[in-house]
Amino acid sequence: MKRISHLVVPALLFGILAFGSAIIILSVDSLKQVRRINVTAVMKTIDRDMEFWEVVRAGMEAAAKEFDVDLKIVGPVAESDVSGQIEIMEQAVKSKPDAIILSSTDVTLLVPSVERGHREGIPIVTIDSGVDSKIPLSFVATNNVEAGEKAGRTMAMLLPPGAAVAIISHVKGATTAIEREEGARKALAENGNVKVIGTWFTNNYVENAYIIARQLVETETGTAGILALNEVSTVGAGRALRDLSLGGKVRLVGFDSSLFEIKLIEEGILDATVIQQPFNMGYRSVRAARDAVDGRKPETFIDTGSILITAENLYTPENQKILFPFVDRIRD
Amino acid sequence: MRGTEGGRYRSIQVTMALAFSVLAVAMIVGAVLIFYSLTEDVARINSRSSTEQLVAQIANNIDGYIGYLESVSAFVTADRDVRSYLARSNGPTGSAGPTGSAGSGASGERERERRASEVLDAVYRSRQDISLAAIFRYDGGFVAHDPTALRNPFVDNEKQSWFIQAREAGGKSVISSSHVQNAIKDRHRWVISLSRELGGEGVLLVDLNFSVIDDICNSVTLGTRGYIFIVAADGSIVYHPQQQLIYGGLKGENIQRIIEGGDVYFAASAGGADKLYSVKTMKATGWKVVGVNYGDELVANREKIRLNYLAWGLGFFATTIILSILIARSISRPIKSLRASMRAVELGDFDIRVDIQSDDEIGELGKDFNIMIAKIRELIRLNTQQQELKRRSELKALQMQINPHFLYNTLDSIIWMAEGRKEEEVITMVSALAKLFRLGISKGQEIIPIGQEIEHVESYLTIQKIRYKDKLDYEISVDPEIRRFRTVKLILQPLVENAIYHGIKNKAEAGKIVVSGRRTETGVELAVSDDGVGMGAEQLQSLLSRSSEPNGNGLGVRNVDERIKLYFGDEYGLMYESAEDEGTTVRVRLPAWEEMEA
Repeated sequence: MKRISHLVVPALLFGILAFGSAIIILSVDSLKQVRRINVTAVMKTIDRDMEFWEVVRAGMEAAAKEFDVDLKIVGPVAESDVSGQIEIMEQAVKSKPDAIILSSTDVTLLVPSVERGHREGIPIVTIDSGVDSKIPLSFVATNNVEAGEKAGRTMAMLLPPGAAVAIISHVKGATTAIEREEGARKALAENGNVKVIGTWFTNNYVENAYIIARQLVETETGTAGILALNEVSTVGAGRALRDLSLGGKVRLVGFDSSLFEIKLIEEGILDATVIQQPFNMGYRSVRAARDAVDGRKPETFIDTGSILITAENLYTPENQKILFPFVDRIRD
Repeated sequence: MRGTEGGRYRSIQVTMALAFSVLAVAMIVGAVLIFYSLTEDVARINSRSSTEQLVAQIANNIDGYIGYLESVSAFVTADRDVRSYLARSNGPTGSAGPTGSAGSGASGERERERRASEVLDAVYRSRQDISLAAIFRYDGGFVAHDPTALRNPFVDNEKQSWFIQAREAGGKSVISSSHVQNAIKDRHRWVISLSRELGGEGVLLVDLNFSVIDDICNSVTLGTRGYIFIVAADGSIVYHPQQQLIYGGLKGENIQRIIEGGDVYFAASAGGADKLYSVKTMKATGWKVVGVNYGDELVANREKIRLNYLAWGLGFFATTIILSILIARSISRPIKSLRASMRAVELGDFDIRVDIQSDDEIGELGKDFNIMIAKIRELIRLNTQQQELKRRSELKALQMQINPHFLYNTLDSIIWMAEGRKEEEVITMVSALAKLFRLGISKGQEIIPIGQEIEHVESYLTIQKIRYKDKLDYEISVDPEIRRFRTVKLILQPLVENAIYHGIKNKAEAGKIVVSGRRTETGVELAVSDDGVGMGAEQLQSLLSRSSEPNGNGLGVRNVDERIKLYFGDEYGLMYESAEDEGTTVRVRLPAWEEMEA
């Protein structure tokens, strides 16, 4: 007994001490400490003149602040620099952040890097443009089919039955182009007897869009409406209609927002444009990354929504904030 | 109960140390938690007051801007050039009707426009943050601070809320929420607009660049995640860092509560986070500036405070536990030493003394214990003494019993000799008897020199020799060296008597008794040998044992042995050697004492 008590007494004292300490730790630490995480966002472009991506970035930064994320934004300057983005993605994987957010410049070419990241155990979230892989935990983007439907529906309402519609798209094979066209065609077919006479591609050059639009309305195609599937196409087509003073005569429904598009709407050349919500996109991508790191499974597809902008709702408080996201920029 | 036996044994030290520790730890935990919550409260109050100050400061700041716009608008309203522009006449009183007066042609209109534009330009230049100053006349006339500015042809002012509201307000200024100004061609800027009807002729518009307010609100930091937002009186958002999220339904603020309440401070849970809202209403516009803090950020460097409290807690724990052990030990140690002493006493050591240097109850107990032990010791000593005295008196009494018997025989012999007229023998016998008694008395002393004892036995043998004549022969051969050593008196005589009566008397022929004495290594040895009948082993055994009957042969002998042992210790005494028909030798072992102690 006596020999045992030599061990028992220090053990008891130690137990009391540990118990007291534990109570203090647990009570004092009643609010859980959030671990800061490192997230690297590999963007399509870090060109600060690209307003869409600047707003995405603002959304990301807002979320990073809110969810205790140390965010590093990287990417090539030009959106067309696929190999540059691959290299940057590889580096991002090597630096082993807690999560990677990727806006892919190419659906297939980025897949090996994504797989490498996955092998390193880094959760990957894609934003705006995904990759052809099951690996990314979540894809945060506009539902482009739905956006296309919105545009198509609007166009169908603007035109009399039997009118001809031309589609000007950007890059053949690009996900956004395919999906928007799919949605648009579906809506056009459903909402009135509108005939789609074809799809033309601009390869993302305003000049091409201008030429295509001009040719469409100047030749005997009977084009009564043009559906432009991205900003470049919309701007090119709008410019062509303005130059030909066909505003309001040939209907134009476009995509995305830019100051020029806003002017086109004010002028009545552009009947409507479907805009995305890049701030929400950026915000939700970081939130999804945080969720993935914390073990909460984010939704596989997070639709950040699209909004149809017309002359009527151009200046509502909600839409103003999306169309003119930055206060400081002087827009003239 | 012994500690080693009882299963539920706990020493006082352990019990006290544990009890103290539990108590101390409980109290420290309580104290630390109370202090911590106080720290949190203080932090919360600090945070609240600093947020309130900040929000009030921002409200003041923005009020200042709005106030400036107001005074500018008042200045423009009162301006003569502006009035004449509105009146479309050069008349100094500006009393001409809306239809205009004769003599004011197109050139006059241009001139008035130029002058009004100069006034507006002065307003524009007065501050960098004014982005537009313009007058929209109801008849379609338009003048801006910048003469090159054109009206946006696609925008109908009549449908703009700033225009409509100014008209309705009838001369009072109206402040808009933040919006994109699209009244001017190719200019889209986020502004706060002040609009005011001018004399029923048109509307003055002064735009304040919204970046002013945006910058103010953006530059504010409330913790790492806190922020500022502004709500107009109608609930529309003037500024919010995450406006898109609110419009998109991803975020919500409790706007109803904010616009309904006054300058309040409240907590609300939104999006899984506890937020603290601090609201301040602006005077000029009725806007509410709201500061939002995250509850979990109130205590700055929470981690550090936590570690601090933990460190203090552990420090206190360690101190109190060590103190408990020390106190417990200081109490239990004297008890333990007292207990050890008691055990020693239990085992028979009465010479122990407890040494406890404390003035408390335990010290008193120790002193009492010492006193008690001293008393017990005294009692034991007295008891032993009494026992000894009793025993001695008993032995003395026995000694006395021997003498009369012998005396009777001797006197009887003397009578016979006297009757036979053997004068010489009577004299020898009587003088020997006298010597025997003198030595036997020996001034009442119990310890005498061996020399005297030898003389005594010699006297006895002399008497017995006369009585037994040829039947008895004796020899005394004692080393003169040992005569000075001391012995208990009357030890040899009983042995000789025993030898005569049991050894020689029963023998048919004559017997001889030899009394010898010599120095040994350990002391002195006297011996009485006879060549009598001797004793068997059994008889020998019973001789010295106490169980032998008191009236038996061994009585005198045992008496001798006991007395020697009583005085000199157990290692001394008698030793018998005997063989049947050969004789007996009794050896008396004595210490080599020269002096008697007092």
